[in-house]
Amino acid sequence: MPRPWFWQSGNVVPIDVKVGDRVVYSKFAGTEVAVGEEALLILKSEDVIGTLDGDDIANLKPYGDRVLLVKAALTPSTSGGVLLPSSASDAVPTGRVKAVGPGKLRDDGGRDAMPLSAGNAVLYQQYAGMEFPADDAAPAGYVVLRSDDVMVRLD
Amino acid sequence: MTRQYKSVAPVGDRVLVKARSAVQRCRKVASHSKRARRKQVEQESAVTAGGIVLPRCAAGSSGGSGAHPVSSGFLTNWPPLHSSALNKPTTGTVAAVGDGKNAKVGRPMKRIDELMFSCLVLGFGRAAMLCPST
Repeated sequence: MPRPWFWQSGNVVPIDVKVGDRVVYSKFAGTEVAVGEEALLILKSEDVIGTLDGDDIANLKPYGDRVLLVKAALTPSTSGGVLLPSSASDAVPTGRVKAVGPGKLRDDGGRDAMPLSAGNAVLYQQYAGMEFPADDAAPAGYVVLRSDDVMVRLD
Repeated sequence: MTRQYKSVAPVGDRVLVKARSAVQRCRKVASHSKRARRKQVEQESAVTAGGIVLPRCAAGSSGGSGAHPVSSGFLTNWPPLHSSALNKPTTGTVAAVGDGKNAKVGRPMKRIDELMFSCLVLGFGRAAMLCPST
């Protein structure tokens, strides 16, 4: 069978996701279909954020070039001591890297190196990524974002 | 409305996931016993930063039917909440994956046979212009 005229090299790069994995995916991603009585969702592999063991988001293993951050608590207040919601703050959000993905999958099957590692303190773009609720280990919650959305590493 | 199919097979880098949406969770809760339902709804209720417990499945109601499901005790007939309104991870189990991502080349017509084919087409076009009788 002739391959496409251009754009595709004919190489097929296997994706990370395996059958049976419990995955976390982007909230607004995918197309819902029903097969018999079963509700299914068709996703692009890039929309899969990571795999999860159990219900604890702290155990998330990010996919690709994503990183799991523990958000730093923001408690902005006025000079009079009135606490403001985090949405009223224009401070750049910060966090600490808890887990990093293996790197972005290239077309040749290799991976780009990740610029971050677990434990790095970073400054990231506001409204980037997908947020997850807080727990005891992360009172301000978690956020998963692509490494491109991280602006500065605070060494 | 969700389309019904007999079977689906993901193509390329697509992934088929058995989704567990918020609506499904609400339906699951509705099938439990009243006590278990009350407990589960209490556990899954959203809590604001100030500690105010929000009725998880009462949001988005159009009026009277949106009474607090926990306080009213009637948990079977509340309007379901769309998953986008929940700050909960959207998770699912992978049912099938495609064969892989088709790698792309840097620029079109990389192979020599494609270049030769293009030259052939251009040559025929030029010949047709020079010899309109043919």
